[in-house]
Amino acid sequence: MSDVGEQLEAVLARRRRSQPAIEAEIAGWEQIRTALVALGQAVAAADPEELVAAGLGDLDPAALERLAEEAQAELRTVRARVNRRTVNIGVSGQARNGKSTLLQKMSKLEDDQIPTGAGGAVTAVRSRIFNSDGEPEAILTMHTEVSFETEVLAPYATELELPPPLATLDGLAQVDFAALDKTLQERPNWPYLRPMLSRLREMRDSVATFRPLLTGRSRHVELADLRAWVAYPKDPPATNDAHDGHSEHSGPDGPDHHPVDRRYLAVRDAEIHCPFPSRDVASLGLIDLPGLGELVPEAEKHHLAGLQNDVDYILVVKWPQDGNQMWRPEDAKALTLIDQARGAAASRDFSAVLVNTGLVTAERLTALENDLKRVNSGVDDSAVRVLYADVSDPDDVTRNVLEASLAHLAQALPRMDAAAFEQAGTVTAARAAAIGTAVTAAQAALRTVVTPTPYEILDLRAKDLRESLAGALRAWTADLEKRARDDSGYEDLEFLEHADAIREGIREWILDGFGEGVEGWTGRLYASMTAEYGGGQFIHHELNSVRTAIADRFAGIDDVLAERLRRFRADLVGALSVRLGPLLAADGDPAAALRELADRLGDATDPCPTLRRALEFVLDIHLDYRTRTLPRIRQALVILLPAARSGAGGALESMPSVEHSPAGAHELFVWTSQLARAAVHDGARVLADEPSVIAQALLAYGEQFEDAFIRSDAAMAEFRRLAESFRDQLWPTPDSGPGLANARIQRIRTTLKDVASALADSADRQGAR
Amino acid sequence: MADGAFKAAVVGPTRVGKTSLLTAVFTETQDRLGGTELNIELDERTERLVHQHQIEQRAVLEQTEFNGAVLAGTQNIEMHGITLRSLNEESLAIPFDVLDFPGKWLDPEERRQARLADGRWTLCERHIRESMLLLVPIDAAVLMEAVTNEQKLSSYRRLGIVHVENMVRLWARSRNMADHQQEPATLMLVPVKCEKYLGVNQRPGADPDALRARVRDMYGRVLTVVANEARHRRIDVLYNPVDTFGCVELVEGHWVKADADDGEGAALALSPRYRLIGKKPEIRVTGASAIMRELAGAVLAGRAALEAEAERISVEEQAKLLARRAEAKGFWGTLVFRFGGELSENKASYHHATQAEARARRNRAQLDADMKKLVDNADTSRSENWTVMS
Repeated sequence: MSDVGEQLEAVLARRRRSQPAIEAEIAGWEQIRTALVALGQAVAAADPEELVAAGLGDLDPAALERLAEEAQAELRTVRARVNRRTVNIGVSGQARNGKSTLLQKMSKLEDDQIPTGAGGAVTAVRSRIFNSDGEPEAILTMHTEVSFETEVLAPYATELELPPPLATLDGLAQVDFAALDKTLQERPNWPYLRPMLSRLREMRDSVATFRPLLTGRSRHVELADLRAWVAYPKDPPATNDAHDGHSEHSGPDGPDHHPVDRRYLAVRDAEIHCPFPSRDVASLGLIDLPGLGELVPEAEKHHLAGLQNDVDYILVVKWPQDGNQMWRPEDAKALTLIDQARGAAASRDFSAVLVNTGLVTAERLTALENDLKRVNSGVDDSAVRVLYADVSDPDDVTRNVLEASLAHLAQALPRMDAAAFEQAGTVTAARAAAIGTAVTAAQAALRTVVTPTPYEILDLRAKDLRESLAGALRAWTADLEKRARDDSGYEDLEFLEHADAIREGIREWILDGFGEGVEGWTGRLYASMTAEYGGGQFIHHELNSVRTAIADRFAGIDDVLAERLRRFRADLVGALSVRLGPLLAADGDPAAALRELADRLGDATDPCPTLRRALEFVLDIHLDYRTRTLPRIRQALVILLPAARSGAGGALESMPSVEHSPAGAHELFVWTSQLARAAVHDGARVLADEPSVIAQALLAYGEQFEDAFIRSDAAMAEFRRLAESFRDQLWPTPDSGPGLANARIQRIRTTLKDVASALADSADRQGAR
Repeated sequence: MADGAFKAAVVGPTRVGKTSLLTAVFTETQDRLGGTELNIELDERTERLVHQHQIEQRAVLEQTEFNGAVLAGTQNIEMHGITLRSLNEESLAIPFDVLDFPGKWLDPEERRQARLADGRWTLCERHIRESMLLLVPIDAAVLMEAVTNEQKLSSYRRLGIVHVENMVRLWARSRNMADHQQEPATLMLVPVKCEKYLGVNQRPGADPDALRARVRDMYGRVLTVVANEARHRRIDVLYNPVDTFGCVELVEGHWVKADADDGEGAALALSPRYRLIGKKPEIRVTGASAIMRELAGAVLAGRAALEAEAERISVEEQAKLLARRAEAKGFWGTLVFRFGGELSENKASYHHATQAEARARRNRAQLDADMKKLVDNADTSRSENWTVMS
């Protein structure tokens, strides 16, 4: 190995040794950035007034995060540099200047691997070529459909202003190219856009040839077969750009035509390993950079990315042929682009212009030399190194390009690496200082703010919970009270209508001979009068029977009573939902929801037996006819008692004596039905009173619940238990909840501490080195 | 109208049962006068009215069930002349004029629509001002069967409580005037059709307390008006339920949509159904004699007051006083007119001790005694004194 080779291997070895430190620094900055993201979230969760009050009005986590990202970007560039296993020489320049020929000569590859042509651009996929002792091979990394759409289609869609749904493989078929072409003609940069549209049309027409290859996998390809994967097809049929792309030559749908094979579109990256003719430097890579000047979207962006990440040194090939002899604006632009990528390295260390002298007349060469002198302000190589070689001559290339470049790199690469490290250090230190200053200022401001302890937060939450529920329950009982007050004017019209319907039903039943028809009833009575020598026994039995039947029929009010109780509980669920919503079933039976809540409170990690008992009290309320209304209805039915009871005469005492005849029986029917109607009338009055009685009862139940749930001796302690047991459900985010303005500030305080800690760790690492 | 009669007025809305009440007062007083030398007489028109009413009542008794609104209400001003007359001497009589006017006239708007520009209302008003007794009949069924808000509001309007309150105020104020300040003043709240609520027919579950409480509640403002006007004099308030039938009982009372033009402005009207009690139902009036008792009692009390005053002052002054009071022709004028001669006799009996005069004196003493009996025999078991003493 020559001296140059040894020097370059030493550079690579130094780079490898510095890798762990760079990785550690990147990890440290990732920690800083992560802490800043958390700080941003904590600040976003706080109220602006709260931040101002805490002295954090000027804290801008997003700006700090951007500083961290800048430091990370700088470090990533250094990492890309030290991670290179080879010294990489990039080859750049406008199309048709001999780049591919140069690469062929430097790598000993041929036209099938690095295609060249006399016409337009032929290189469709840029390759990275590495010197290797092993079997020559090409490893292709294929696009996935997503990466193809994102990296290839999307830039076209942006430039051509296609709607997003069309910027997909499926959407491509829907693009109306003719209409789009007409639209493009209206745009001032149509000369730039129309070739893009043609490229897009070619993609559409050939989609069947590359879509199946979008696997995202690696693919080993024989070097002999590589051309179709990396080069534009030779002499493809012309497309009819003015019209829709489905021309007879290129259209995929024509009966006699096959689409042009554009499998290269599926290739994301091509890596070729082969032995280079020059063996002085084993660890050498040649990077074919995306062509400058090609009308491909985001060409420059890709070019710059390649420069920054992949290359140590750039050769910009310039062939002063066919009117290309002058130093043109495109050439200047290429150098400018390279200048953006060189980082801390000197321009003359990082790049060189290679003048391709093959078949060039002396006049043209002189013309270019003169122009390049002007670029270097008359001092050779002062800004841009200039090399001369006939790129088609292998010896010339080896001697005047490769060996000259490697000799240069053996000297310049250590300088460039040192400059890159120094710049990274400067940038990260500046960013760390800026972030540190902001964090220190914020921490200083927060030192004057007192924040609660976890126990205080729990207590605050419990108090807030209790106060909120007390307010909601007060509104609930106030509503109950409105209905219960004597002068409220509240009237349950639905209940009254139902009661009236029940009364009318019973009345009709009475008038219908107690359900069996007047004739049937009087017929039975007359028969009894005949058999028993009087109607007393029959009437005695009937009064009992009618009394019982009326009492039963009034039970029809149960439906409304059940509904009132359901509404009472539903309103309670509504009041409790204000704060306990996550613990209550959203829909369905309110009793079931209260049951579930009672069970949850009872079975909680820290049980709340008093609160549970309060809920069970509500669940135990009975609002049915049998327990509430029947006792008072029975009072109204007293007039149907046949025999005397204390304080009142029995109905039979006033029973008229009638003659034993059908007319007499009818007279007794009238008498009995009058008694029954009077009883029903009074019973209905009892029912009509019931809404206010129910309202009173529900108010009493409501107030009892409110007292037990909110004001019992154990209530406050149990609200703390509730807050602790169901913290995650009731306060799903750490800074949500009552009285936790301070907790939000506390979260900011914690995240600031994390940022400061990460910065300190980074500083410690720097110090250790 | 009898010349120089004592005045009373009935203030109540249409169909509340004012005519029934008068009939009941007449009937029960007649029964209570047994064993006395007094007779109760009605003027011819009132007698015809009462007779007609009794025929209607009897017709009702023939049914097994009837609608409470079957009896027609008063459509004109009626001045009922009721006289307590000595059987021994026809000239010895205590006449009462009881004013009964269409109940709807309580409403000023109704009066305006009825075009009472002919002075009839002025006549009513003057009579009310001069009445020593104001009767307020109350339909107990309308009062008690109202349960819902709408029914209660309709009940309030149908009982004309606001208008009754205004009439009571008018009356009570006039009782405060100088001319009337020494006169008796009694307001009687008289629930009628209350057999069901008082348990007249041994009906189980009757609740007289509930009726009393409801009257106190609904007529609370009326009682307050009286209390306010009675700061400088006594105005008695009596609560006195009356059974005008006795042998009936409410079966059911449904509230139905009211006719738009029934004049009460209430959305609902009570449609009560009554049943007759007993094999052969007979009218058993209860509580009405207390009304006659109040009338007679007021006259007796007034006379006693006049005599006591006469004892106190000289004859000459007395003559002047009597002459002055006679000018007013109010209660005192009437009293003097009725009892003046007797009073003079008491003071100068030794000058005119003729036999005829002695007989006349005896007859007047008998009248006194009989009126006292009437007062003492009246059924006051239901009467409650609600007078608020200032």
